[in-house]
Amino acid sequence: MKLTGPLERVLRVFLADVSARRYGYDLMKAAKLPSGTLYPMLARLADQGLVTSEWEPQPDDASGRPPRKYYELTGEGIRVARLELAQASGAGRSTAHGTARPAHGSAQ
Amino acid sequence: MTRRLPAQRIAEHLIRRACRHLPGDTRDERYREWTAELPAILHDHDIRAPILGSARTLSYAIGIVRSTRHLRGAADIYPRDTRQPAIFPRPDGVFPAIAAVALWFTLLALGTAFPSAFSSPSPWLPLVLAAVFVPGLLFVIATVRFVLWLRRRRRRTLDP
Repeated sequence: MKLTGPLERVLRVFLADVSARRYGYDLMKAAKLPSGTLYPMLARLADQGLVTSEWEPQPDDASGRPPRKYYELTGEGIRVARLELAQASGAGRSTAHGTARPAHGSAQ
Repeated sequence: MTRRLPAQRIAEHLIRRACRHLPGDTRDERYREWTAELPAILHDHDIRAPILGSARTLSYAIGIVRSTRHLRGAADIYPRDTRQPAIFPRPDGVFPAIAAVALWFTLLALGTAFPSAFSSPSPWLPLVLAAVFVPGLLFVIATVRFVLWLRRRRRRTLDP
């Protein structure tokens, strides 16, 4: 999984409360992403088994609004998201402190 | 909230059109999912002015159009084995060719009606020459598009 800026924002929103289910517009607002970026990303995450979705039951309030689809991270998604974000922040710290990251295959 | 605002109708229309490009098994679900978000956007309490709510609704729908392009590309929703083959497939470049022929006939009719405009000392001659050049360009475009279309079809046939 290539951690892009928008993906990082979405993962952070999910990880802020892993038990919370989020609908599309809620995620858009929280991650400050347009729908054209968010939905393809959610589809990719779902294809990779990192995100699951389910429809809410028909709302019983008087608003008459249609049921929404809610997204949440799977167990694997939580694990991968935490790992990726930790790596990203670790890389950011080492860059900020002027520490060069070792190249792949180089001696530690 | 049952009354649908014009922005919501336009957005629904855009989303419906965008969803037509998705595969049949996901089309309805995506349409339901994406249109279900519209009331939340239109009645978002963080957006003070109704006009901004409408603008965001339309922006959301335009984003959905982009989403369907991405999703279509990712899922290859037009796999060759499931696409309904057209009985008479329309080749690319037909419209430029038709436009070129129509322009040429128009010029021919004008040349017959006003032969002096096409003669050498006519002040209209540069304009006439430019007008003759346009159908030629359209024919080149049509030919290139047709050849590319033929090549794509041939590759598709060779690569089942």
